[in-house]
Amino acid sequence: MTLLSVTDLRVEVSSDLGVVRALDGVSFEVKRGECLAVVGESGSGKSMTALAIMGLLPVGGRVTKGSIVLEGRELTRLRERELCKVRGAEIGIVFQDPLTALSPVHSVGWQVLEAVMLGRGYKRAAAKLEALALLTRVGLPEARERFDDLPHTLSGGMRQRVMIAIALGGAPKVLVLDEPTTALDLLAAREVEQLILELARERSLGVVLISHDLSQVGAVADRIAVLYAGQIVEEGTAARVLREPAHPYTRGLIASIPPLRKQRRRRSATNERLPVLAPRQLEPRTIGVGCRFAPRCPAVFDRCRVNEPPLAMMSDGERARCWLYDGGSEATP
Amino acid sequence: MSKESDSGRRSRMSVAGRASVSEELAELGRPTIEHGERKRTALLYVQRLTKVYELRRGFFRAPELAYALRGVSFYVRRRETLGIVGESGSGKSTLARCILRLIEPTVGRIVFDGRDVTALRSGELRALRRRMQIVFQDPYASLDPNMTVQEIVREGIDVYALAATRKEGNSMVAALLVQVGLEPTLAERYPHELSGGERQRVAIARAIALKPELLVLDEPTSALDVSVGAQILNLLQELQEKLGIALLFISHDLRTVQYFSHRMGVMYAGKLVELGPTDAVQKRRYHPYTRALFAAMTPSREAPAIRLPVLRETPAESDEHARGCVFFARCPNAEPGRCDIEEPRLSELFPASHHRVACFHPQLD
Repeated sequence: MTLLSVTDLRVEVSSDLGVVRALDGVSFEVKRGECLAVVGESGSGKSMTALAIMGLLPVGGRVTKGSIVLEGRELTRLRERELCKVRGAEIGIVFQDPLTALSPVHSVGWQVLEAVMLGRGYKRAAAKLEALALLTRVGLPEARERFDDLPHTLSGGMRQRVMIAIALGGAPKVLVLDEPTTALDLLAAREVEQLILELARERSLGVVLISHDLSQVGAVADRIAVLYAGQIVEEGTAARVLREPAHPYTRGLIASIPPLRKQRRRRSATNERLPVLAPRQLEPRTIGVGCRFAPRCPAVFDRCRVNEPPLAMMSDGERARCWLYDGGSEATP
Repeated sequence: MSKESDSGRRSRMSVAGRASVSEELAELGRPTIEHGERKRTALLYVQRLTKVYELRRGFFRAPELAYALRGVSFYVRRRETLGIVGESGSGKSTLARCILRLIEPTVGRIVFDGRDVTALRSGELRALRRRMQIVFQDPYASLDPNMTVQEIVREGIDVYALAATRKEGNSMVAALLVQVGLEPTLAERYPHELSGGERQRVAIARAIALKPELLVLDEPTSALDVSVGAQILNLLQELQEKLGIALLFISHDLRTVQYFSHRMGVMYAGKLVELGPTDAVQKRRYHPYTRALFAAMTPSREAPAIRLPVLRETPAESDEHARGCVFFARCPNAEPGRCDIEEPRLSELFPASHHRVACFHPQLD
């Protein structure tokens, strides 16, 4: 059952330099208990996606087209007061850097407790019990003893667990995580990802996981959407996208991940190089003419430079924005 | 909070009241005969490098000691890449800075090309710095925003008077930019006009301008997008093959280290816990920490990660580990009564395997 659906979303950000279209026609759905990873490099618009869902776009940014619907309710037309009730109570958010996101002068327990009181309308005593239960659930060791500790006394992984407890404080239906493990060490990152997966399952949460690293989302994501220049260029089940990437951009991204050693011969013997994508063009693109990836695409042909490809359905739920897959028949690249 | 000690001697005196610690530091400073022949032929040889910071938690409280490095020893051969992987706080950046003597080690020896450089004074140090250069993680912070690319790359050439005339210097800069894959026309630009990948290329051009024999790379791709990072890795590989530079590649990213390095070391809490040819380390994974890291690198739902106990604080901050194994509190193989008292030394499990592990109970399956 669809929990959150984003349709043809366009976000424009105006600054001194003019109007930039940060997102252009982004559509996806998230079901209960499902985790969608939105993956892209810097500037692709992945953080804008998270902020648009939360109604937290930066100054100058606004949704100019499309809709964001949570359980039948349109969010883009809500006023700020109504949005305040949605945030926390219906959508929880976790940011990349927990030390910046947490208040340095309030205890971790109090910050969870506050989220429970505001999000669920609990009285203080009941909220404290719930906060303690949440901190225990996210794996803070000795939660009762650490309830009154300040965030700086915790390790990075522990702080991120506290952030997740706060996000769950209002018993939301959707959890939006913006690069939740990027600031963490490998082992801590794995544990936090495992926690996110468990929570999604046991609480039937819809999870939107924003990440820059395609190699790291495999253990958590059910589905993956790849963003490029403000558009989804590929979407599908995580297993399919990672094993058989369709779009040349996704293929290039996966190829540039350093392979494991057993899968290749010695580097020194073969002068092996990582296959890399052509460098990004820094000149402003002429939006509307041709495929946005065409200047970097190794499989580019005439049509790509003239017409922009639609996000075509390859098979059920598997989509790619590329002329190679137009009309459902796969051409050989 | 941490206060750096000015010299090894002063730091040793300041901890003299604590018998066990000063004894340990003395023990760390004792010369060893490890490595034998390999040590003499190596370009860089680091012996028992230790860096201790004093943490002052209150005016009247005795300072606590934080070990950023605990007796790290290794060598780097010419034309070789040694990768060091470790999580944040494991001391890997301290290691990079100690080797270049940007910070002073508390105890230990640094031997470069057969010469002990641990105690060199400023003049001699300058000559040494031409031969070992560093590239930092963040090219936004490591390039002077008020200098053009030309001036940045040119600075070292002028300091060491490598060019006879101004014209020759300019053409050297142009050649260097081409060598790192940049258009020579970028020379007049300022760093803020460049992308992250281009800036890191400028930082590399600046480093190789002095024709160093050793290049220390402190997380050179961590601030970059994956596809840009791959380009930088390819460039470094190409430069190594062409110029024969030895690389010390320091990163938190195990995937990159295992791909890029001929030999690799794993650091935990300031200690090197495993060291060997990359293929051997990747295949055998003797140390329980190495094993957990490799398991976490390839996440999949079929093979869940190895779960290690979670610590209340980062291990480097904890003084308890002055004795025993640094990994004791999290180790699945820990033997109470031994691992928490005796410190395992980095040694070869099998003679001449060139694969060393610091563990009493390595995983041998």
